[in-house]
Amino acid sequence: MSFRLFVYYCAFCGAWAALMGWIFGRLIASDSGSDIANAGVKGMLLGLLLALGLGAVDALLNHPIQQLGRIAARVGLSVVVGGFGGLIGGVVGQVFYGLTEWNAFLVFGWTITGLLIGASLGVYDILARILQSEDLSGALKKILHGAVGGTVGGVLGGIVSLLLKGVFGGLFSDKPVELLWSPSATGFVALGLCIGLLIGLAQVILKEAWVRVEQGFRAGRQLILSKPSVTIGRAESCDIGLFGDSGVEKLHARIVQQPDGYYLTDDNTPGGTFLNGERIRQPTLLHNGDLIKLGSSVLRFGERRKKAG
Amino acid sequence: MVQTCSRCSRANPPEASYCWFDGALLAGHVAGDGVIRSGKQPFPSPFVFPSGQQCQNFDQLALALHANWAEATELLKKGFLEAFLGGLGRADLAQAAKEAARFPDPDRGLDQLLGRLPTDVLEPARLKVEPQEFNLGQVRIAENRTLHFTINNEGKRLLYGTVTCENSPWLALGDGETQEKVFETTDTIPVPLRIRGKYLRASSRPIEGRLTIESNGGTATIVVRAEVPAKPFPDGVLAGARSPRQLAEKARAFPKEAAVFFENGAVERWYKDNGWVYPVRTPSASGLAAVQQFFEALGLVKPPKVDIDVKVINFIGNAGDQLEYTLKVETPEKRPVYAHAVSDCEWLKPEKPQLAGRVATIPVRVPAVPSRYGETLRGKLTVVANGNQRFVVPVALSISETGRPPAPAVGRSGSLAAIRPQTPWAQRIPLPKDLGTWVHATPVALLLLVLLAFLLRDALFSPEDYVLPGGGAMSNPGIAIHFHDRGDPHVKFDTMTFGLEALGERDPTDPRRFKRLTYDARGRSNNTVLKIDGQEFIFGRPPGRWLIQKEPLPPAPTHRRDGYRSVWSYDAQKIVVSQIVERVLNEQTQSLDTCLARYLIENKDSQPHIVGLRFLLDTYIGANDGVPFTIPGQSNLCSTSHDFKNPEEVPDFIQALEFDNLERPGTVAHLQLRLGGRLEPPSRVTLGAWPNDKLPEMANAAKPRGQNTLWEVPVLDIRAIQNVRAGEPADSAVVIYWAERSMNPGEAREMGFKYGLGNLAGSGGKLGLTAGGSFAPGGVFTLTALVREPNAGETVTLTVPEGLQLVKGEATQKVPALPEVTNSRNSPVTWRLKSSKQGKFVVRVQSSTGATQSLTVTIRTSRIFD
Repeated sequence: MSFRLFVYYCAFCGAWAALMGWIFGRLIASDSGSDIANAGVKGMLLGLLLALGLGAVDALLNHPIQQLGRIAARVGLSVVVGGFGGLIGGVVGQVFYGLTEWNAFLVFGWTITGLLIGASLGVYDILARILQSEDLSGALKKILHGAVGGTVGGVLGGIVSLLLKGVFGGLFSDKPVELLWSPSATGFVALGLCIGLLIGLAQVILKEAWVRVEQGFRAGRQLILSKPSVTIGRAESCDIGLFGDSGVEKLHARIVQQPDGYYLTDDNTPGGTFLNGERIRQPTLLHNGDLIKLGSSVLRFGERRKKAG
Repeated sequence: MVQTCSRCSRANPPEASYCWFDGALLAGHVAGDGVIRSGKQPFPSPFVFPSGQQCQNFDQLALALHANWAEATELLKKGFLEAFLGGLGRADLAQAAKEAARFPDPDRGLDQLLGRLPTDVLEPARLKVEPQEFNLGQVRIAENRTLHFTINNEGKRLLYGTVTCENSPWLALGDGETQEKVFETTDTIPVPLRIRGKYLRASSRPIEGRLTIESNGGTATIVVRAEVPAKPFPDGVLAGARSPRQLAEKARAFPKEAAVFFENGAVERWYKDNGWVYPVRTPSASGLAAVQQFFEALGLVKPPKVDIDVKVINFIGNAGDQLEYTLKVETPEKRPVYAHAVSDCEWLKPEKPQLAGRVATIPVRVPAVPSRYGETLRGKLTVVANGNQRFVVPVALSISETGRPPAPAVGRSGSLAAIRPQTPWAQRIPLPKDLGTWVHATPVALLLLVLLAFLLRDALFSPEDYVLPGGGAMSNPGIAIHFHDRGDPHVKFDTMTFGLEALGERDPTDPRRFKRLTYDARGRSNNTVLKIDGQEFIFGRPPGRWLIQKEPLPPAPTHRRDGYRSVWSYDAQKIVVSQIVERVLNEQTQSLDTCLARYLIENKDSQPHIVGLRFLLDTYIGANDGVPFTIPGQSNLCSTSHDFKNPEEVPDFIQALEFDNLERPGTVAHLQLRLGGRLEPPSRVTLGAWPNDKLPEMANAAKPRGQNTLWEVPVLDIRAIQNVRAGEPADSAVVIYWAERSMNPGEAREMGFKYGLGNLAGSGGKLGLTAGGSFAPGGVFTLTALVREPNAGETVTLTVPEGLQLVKGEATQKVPALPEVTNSRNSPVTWRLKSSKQGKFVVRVQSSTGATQSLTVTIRTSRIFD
């Protein structure tokens, strides 16, 4: 999956998830219990479904479909944290809104929801790093990027949602608003779309290093390097799977993050790993735009240059 | 005073001349005046060197070891010194000798032992370098020079350390290329220092290198300075440039003229001559692209985003054929493109690229198809363009299985012009499109369709779907009823009180909300009180309990009903009270703008009980909490208080106008008190102030307690609160009583009222008409004409249409004059009319002043209660 497609899918999965959340919320939480419980249930459904959609997109960006176990674990963790985030956001927003009736607190609640949904995408990476006793910095950055995107998405989505509610509510001002669907549904969809879009954009814009498969299995897909060591090969456990390429070993090469940059290492393969046409014999520092050739597969390494100082 | 040893830094008593620990002479004392000079103490037997030299004490031994260094290291290594020192009884020195012998460097080992001997005849090592600075003057690029400096040991012990010049690549130590050198000496050593010309870089400022000498005898630095002036660019528009920046400025000013110097390599040579690294790593482009290439390499311009026109090239040919294909790299941006290609196989040769502005073309040639019949050879062409943008183009060469076909003569000549037509052989494979844009777009399209469906549903949806009797079109969206169905800080019980909002209009004080018809949207300032056997209870509050709470009403045979039933039980008395509140169609306005509230009281006990019910309605319109009431049959509006003490006095309805303007009366609130059918009419109705608990208690009247007021509500002036709190708005309320009466076991009472929006037919602002009462066939209703600021002696005449008959009052009536004190400018005149059949009837009222107003009255059978 390319980054453009990733952002696009994040946005529309967010929108669809929000719509489903709206439908379920209307079915489950309609007129039952207190306002706070209602808001909590609706927020939880929104967060749960948003995290499900965004988690699935994120999992498909990071794992080939063959790694179903990892995909399920990643999505499952996202759903748990996202649902919790929605619950907290809904309850907090409603409590303050109930006390003050300021719309700002609705936006505040949605911002909390967005923040925790965004952060939920990195929970799997954190746990995986901890279990493997690896460096947490990449996973923490992912959580941070997700949280930033979710927060901005929550604020933006909340504002757009209120505007849409106002527009559609005004369009049908001669009808009881509690019986209308479009104001709240479009508001929810806008909220989910903004949260999804901004989370996806944040992941892509703030990424530091990535790899694009130029040639080989699922050419065109791009992967963000968020692990200290990324494995490349045709084994299903590899982070970058190059399935079906007989010239690629099960574990062929690694991209290892060091303080001074990313290094490419070959795993003593008979066919070798080539960097810009030259076979590498030792860990070699990668630069933006470098081409990595393994078997008949070609990857392009990308790196966002850091400002000095 | 305590004395500190200058050698071991240990404290010694004031009387000591020599250190008690190492025997060193303490400061301020003359050698020999102490007790012991340990270095001069004679050995029991002398140490004799293989050369025959004898040492009688430690001073002599130290000097002899220093003087015969090489011999001494051998003696140390072989253990003679360890044995001798052990024989003296100096186990510490014997151990030191043993450790020194094991030291990897024998010289350092011996020096270590000398440091341990109890003697001060050998001074510690002390570093001195000469000279401490070199000034080389002007040095040319590639000019090598050799200099020397010396490292001097001004002490007696071993001096050892390192010399480094790590940050100055143009300096090297010794004869090789090393930049770090280790040294050991007891005296002096010369060190060669080389200036490596190939590492010199031209600069406008003097360059400076530093040698750092770190040793056990101290640290020193030698500074090496040189001037390496830049050679100016010799030719053309770039002539005189002495730095890359100057060259870039000149090239920017004259790009076309400068391009040739980049293209022919003159700039690259100039860089090399000045010792600089030419930033362009790829083959030099031509024309303006060469300047672009240089600027990109310097980071002065952003490379354009380029694209290649093919992804795969397939050649098909016979052995020996010469094939060619030209690929194209281009950009939509207005910048020159440069590119070159590299092949990874022998049979494929990329040619020199042709650069033309935004397009670069690269001919790719197979000079001679290999004789590998039937095979398909594969290779890769890597195309590198602006900004190191790379494209890997797979190339396949399919070779014919049969041999070479009869070739034309031109083919044998090998001239390029005779090569087979190029394009057909180089099959262009279009870039594969993404997985189908429509596949990605479908979910979004579906989402938009769903939202569109919601919009259509909302656009087509009509609230009248909820009430179908009559099926008439609604003139306004009606009202919404909100229940207090969950506790809150104000009223902590789920009391099921209810409030009304008019959906067609916004609250003037808060446009986000609809206009309220009750002070509180959930009716929390209303209350319903039951009086059972003299005890008073507020409905929905303990004692008692909900048997049913907010149960939707079952649909009627002809339509869906929009309302809820809640049932409260007084278990002690076994009295059950049902509150049924629903939104109903207003027959006159044909809108869902009326709330019908009913109470059903059932005696479930086996003995009779005396039961009554009272309802407190906190009226409110828009932002007006103290609206005056129009009472049919009354000659004036009620703006203070009124008490209809018995059932006969209770009017059919009362109304309130938001604004005292007959042309634009704003919202008209309509309270129907007599509903007919099985519903009991009220036994008493009072109009007055809402029983605010800030109001003073009056004699012989109950204490006002707000929403907690019990059965008896004091009848006070609507404006009474203003006497207590200046500036506070007037606050009106209507209290409806259904008097106590005995209920036998199993008996039920049902009572109710309607509250909602009314209508006022008014035009011209002079005359307004409104009606209320029973609009069923045979029912009696009241028609009220409101006359704006009536003239003295003004009369109004009612024209009664066929089907209606006047039951009270004359057709022509005199309009009462306005009272002296009033907050309204309208004077009411009322008639009571009776209908004999269903249908729509137009009643017309004409004033003696000429003003005329009509009102259409709809008479139809009621379907709810009858």
